[in-house]
Amino acid sequence: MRASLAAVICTAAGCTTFEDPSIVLDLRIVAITASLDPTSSSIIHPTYGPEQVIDIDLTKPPNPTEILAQLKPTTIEVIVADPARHRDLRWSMRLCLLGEDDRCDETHPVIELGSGLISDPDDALTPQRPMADVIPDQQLLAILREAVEANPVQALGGIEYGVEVEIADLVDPTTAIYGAKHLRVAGRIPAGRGANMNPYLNYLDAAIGGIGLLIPRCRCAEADEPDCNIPEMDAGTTVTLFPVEPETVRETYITPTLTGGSAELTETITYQWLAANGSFSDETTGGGHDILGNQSLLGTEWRTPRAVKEPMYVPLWVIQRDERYGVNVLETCIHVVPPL
Amino acid sequence: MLRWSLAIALVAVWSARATADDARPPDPPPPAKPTGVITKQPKLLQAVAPDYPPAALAAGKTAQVKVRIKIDAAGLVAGVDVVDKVGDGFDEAAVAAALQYVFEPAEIDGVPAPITVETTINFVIEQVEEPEPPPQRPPPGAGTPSGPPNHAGDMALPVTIEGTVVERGTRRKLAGVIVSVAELGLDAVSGEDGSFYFHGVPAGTYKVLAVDQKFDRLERPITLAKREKVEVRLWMRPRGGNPYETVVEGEREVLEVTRRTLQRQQLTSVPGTFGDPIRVIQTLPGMQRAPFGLGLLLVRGSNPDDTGIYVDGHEVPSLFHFLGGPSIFNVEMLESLELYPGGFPARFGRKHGGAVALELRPTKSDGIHGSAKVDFIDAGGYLRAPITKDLSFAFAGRRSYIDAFLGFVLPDPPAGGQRIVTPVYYDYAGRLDYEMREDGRLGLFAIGSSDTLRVIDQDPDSAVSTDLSTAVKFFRVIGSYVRPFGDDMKLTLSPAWGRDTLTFTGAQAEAAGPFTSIGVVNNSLSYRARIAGRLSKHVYLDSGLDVLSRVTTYEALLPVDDSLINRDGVDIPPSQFFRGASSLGVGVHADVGIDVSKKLKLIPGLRLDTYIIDGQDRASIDPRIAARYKLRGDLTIKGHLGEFSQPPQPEALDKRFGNPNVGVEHATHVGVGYEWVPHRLWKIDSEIYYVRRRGIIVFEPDLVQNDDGTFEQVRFVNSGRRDSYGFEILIKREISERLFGWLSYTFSRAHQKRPGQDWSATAFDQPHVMNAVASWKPGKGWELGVRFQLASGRPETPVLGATYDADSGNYVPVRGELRSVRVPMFTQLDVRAEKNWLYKTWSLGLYIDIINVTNAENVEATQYDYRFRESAPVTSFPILPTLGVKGTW
Repeated sequence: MRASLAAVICTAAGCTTFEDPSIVLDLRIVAITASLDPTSSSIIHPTYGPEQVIDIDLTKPPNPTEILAQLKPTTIEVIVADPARHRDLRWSMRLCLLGEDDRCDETHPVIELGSGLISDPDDALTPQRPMADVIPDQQLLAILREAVEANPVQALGGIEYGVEVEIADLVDPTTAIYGAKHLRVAGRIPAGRGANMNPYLNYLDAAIGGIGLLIPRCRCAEADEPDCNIPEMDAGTTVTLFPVEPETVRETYITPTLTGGSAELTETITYQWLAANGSFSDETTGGGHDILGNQSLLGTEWRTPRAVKEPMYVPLWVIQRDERYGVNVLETCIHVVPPL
Repeated sequence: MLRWSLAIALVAVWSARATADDARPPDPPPPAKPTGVITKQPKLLQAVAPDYPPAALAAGKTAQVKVRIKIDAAGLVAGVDVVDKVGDGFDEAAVAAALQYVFEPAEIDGVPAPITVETTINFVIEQVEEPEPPPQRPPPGAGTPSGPPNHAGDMALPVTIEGTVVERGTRRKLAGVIVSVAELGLDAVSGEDGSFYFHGVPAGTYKVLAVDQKFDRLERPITLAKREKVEVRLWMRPRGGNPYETVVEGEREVLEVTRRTLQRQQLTSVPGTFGDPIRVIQTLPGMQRAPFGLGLLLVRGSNPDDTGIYVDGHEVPSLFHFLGGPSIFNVEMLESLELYPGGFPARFGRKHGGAVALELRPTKSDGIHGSAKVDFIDAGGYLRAPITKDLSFAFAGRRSYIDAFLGFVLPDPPAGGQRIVTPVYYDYAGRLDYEMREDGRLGLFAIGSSDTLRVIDQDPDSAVSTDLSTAVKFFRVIGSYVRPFGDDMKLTLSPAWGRDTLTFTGAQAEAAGPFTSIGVVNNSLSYRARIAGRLSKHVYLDSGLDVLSRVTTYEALLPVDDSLINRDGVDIPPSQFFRGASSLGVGVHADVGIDVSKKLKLIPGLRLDTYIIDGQDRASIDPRIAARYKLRGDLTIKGHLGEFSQPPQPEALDKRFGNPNVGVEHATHVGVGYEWVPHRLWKIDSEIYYVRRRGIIVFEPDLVQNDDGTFEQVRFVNSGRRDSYGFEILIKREISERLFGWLSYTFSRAHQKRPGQDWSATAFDQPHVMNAVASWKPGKGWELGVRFQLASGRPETPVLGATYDADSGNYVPVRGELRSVRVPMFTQLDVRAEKNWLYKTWSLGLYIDIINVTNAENVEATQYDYRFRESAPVTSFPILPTLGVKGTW
């Protein structure tokens, strides 16, 4: 129905059909995660990351040393895809106050977090993920101070800052793409407030015609690895995908309110579905209620590509998010073969 | 009485002269072209009495002015020269009168052609004392006594031919038609009720002629037996064959610098406007083009909300059905529609953009009249009828049937599911008028409209379903009592009550009740008292009281996130809210037109407003002055300077969702221009203007901390600026029997500034807007119309790139300078053809209106792909024909 109405409206208004956002055709930033504990796999364990809550005494001027002592380094990790090209890429990250366009606001301090090269993110056997650490130091403190000065009242909910990521071809800067990861430091107001944790998944359930499939956590480049049993599907097949969440993934949290009180809420989790080919019935699932009271199912259906002449590996990503900058990524692969 | 007698006397003088001219050629025309032969002399069809120069009248002077009249091939006067000037104002008066003559054109070689004739206009004083003595049989040898203009012949003898002049198709009784018994040289001018009388016509066979410039000449033979009285009804066919009523604007006191009035015919026959009167306003100078054909009134760079729409002085919200539908007003209910693009009179208050004034049309006890119209979108009708001699009513209604067509367009629902889409609009209006003659007139007008849209969609295979319902309803009742008093004053008292409702509900199709909902009910009570008229020979006053009380209630079932944390996608259950807002505005206003000299008129004005909005006091004092200076008889220069104020909407002061400290917005208007009337059918009106708006209410996202430690969003502050300047010109060809049209051009720039931002173009800034409108009646009931629009594209902010927001999965655009680029120029050609068949008591019309006949791809906006790399235009209407039929009786 929505499609029908949209078609009627678009006929009158002259709408155009664009590229499907759920199909990754060329260089894309798939996800950016922030973690306080980069050694643990964010996929299967909860990790603290995008938010840090510190104890402060509002009756006294903030003590920078005490604040820094409570902050921990945060590792920023970028998941990149570039299915259309076989090439190395350069990357850079900057820590700053993000503007309305999610780029660094150059009128405030900016810290170069790091830069480097990665091999082709799709072909390399080892995951090629730009990584950099946000170190609690005087430079970070300067950024936080600027944020507070820019809007002292708003900062009571938490001081917002972020990381700007740039990925580009080695020699052609015009290919640069940009991404942003938001971070927050907040005082423990109200007293029960805790830091957000990244969400995580138990596993991804899949089924074709009611028959379950095992979906491994393997990239397509790892297809020949002995532990990777990449499932094979015929071209044009529809597979149902369903994320199986741990029971504790939806955190209950406390937030300060405009009225000076606090509210206790439970997180909602959304899933973004991406693949290098085929098509999804729903590119985003989960989340809260819409204005009609509908609540989207968590799963989606993915139709494998139809016009397949040669067997092909299709990378598929599931990005799991909560509403407090928590992000988790599951990357997998499907082997699509021409129908017999 | 004295003045009227003079005019009649002069008409008679001219008529006699014209009759003589018919018998013999006019004074020798200048030599015709060597190759041409005058095969038919021009014939006077209608003369106008000149105004007697007051000073000469007072001095008892008389004169004979010899004039040379240039007549074009259509029989219209193209120019008048005085051959021998006599002074004392007689020359100017003679020229002014002769310019209004209408002739049957001369023919050269059998073809209508321009010609020049000379004649003499006599100024004689023929006083008639009041009261007029009853007609008495004259003594033998005395002249024939004169009677009222609609009586001719020997007044002492009984009436032998009696009749009424009636318009074919509408049965409207026509006044001012010259009716002649050709054989006897008797002329009568039909009265207000269309009646005429010939006294003492002897038995015989005669030809009765009826002549009027707006109607075809009618000739009807009658045979009169001895001692018999004949009654005739003369059915006059409008020239061009269309039964449109042409409303000729009477002399009105000018208390503003720029007012643009549209007559009824212009309101209904402009192509591309759906016959919608309000949309025709959008073709006038000073108006920016509204996107997607919407009915937004964008006046001189202002936002739509800054322009007030007043119905008999009472402000109303938007007059359109939703989603760009037609206006809710039936044109038959309107007397006139006027646009004041700037420097408007003080009686229009509480807005600082422009003013659109709709004057309602009282009904008459002149028979049963009506109309009905059917087209692809809706059908409607209008009926007017008398109840008693002094009491009459009118009613109009319309209903859409888009819902019936949608069923053919939308796909069928899945098995076991349901799909219902019901967009329906309707409107109605009625009025009752009681004529009390010298005691005034009482009127009661009511209008209402309803727009509803319901979408139900349920698919058994889907976890989501839809039940969306919106309804917008509008109702107004306006009473009026108009009473003349004094020599030239009028008192108008007018109370009004209105109720506007907006409701929205959203739910799952299978749910018992709404999940979210919004309900807004706005009750308004207003009262206008107005005294207008001439205080003395040189002073005109328009003053009054303007009271508006509004009580608005809001009921909402919505999720409200009052957290201090920035988040997206939080799932908060809806909660019920009840809010209310009230406002009381009391304004007094006065405009005084002072004729400082014969050439200079000054119009100082003042408006004082006080407001109590949700318990908060506000006030504004708006002085203004306008001036008009008549450089020549055909050229007037004009200027204005003034202050205008606009209070915040009550909801903007709501403590929870607004800011109680928001104040009144202000604007300064200044403009100078001229009006040039080079010919009675042509008018050029031009003005340059500058509008400075300050204290504009803008959204402010910052939080502030209250004394009690709580926080609130600022939301609205009076810190915006919005300035506009421009130049506009209107070249207008007034309505004649076959043609009307206008060319309007506006150069306009509108900029705005917000805290922390540089000046930028406003969302509706359009430097160049041109509209050319023409309507032509080639005859035989046809009317052909064309409209061409050209407008600068709307400003847009360029997108330079995008950033992937890894926490939402969406791309955030990186924008360039605010509104620094434009979509391409908009050009559109609309045409309209209408054919009318006239029957005695009714008429039938068939029309086709084609919007964008060239199917031009006009860009309204730019749309982007999900990562802002690709873009494509959002285009306006493709070619869109509308076919309709209407009957009028």
